[in-house]
Amino acid sequence: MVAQNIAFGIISGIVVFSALRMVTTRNIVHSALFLVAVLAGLSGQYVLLAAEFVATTQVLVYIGAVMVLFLFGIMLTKAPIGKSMEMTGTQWPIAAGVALMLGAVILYSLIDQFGSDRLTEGGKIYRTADVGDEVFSTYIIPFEAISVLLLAALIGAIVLARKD
Amino acid sequence: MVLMSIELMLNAVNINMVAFGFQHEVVSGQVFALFIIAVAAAEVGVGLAIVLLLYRNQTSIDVEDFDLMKG
Repeated sequence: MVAQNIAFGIISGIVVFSALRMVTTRNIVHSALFLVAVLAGLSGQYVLLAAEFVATTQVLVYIGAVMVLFLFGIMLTKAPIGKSMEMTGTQWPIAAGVALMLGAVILYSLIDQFGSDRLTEGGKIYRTADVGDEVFSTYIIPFEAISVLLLAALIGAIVLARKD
Repeated sequence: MVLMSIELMLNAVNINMVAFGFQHEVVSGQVFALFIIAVAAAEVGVGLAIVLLLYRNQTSIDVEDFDLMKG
């Protein structure tokens, strides 16, 4: 268990640092690359949680498709390359204070209620075959609904973005 | 920038789903995480199409420059 804890600690440190730098940097391309670091770190966390199908899907869909879309969008809209994105919110100290207070309230209530629970050792490991069985038996209706949603998103994006 | 923050939040929900699925030894956590990934990808596609349309009208993607409805 110690190796998993060390790996979890290292990956969490990378993810939290990248997420904080993503929202505070002034360069939009650096922001997108920090988001890639967050997504890749989260994929490693999924592998640590014995969810290898979700990890591979995350790499393929999020890093491979969504982030490529973002970077192409940044390129095509000629976003300013380099440090020129101003932090346009002038009241960000108040927003940060509110967020910290919310975080403190949530943390306190979580630790107070569940602080004495101990983690299970992770008895049953679900393989990809089990995930597939579950999708096609219990969750077949959301699966079909997502197919229709993806079709609608595809047609919608093409209709919106064509020149006419 | 706003779209990238939405992706960050959706990933936070995803890691929650998978972690609690792992703890309670059900497989629904991973299944729901897959659905969330699919929905987020569709939403980013449409969102970026809208951003491109906005850029054609205004040649800027900064949120501050879209103030036509500002009183």
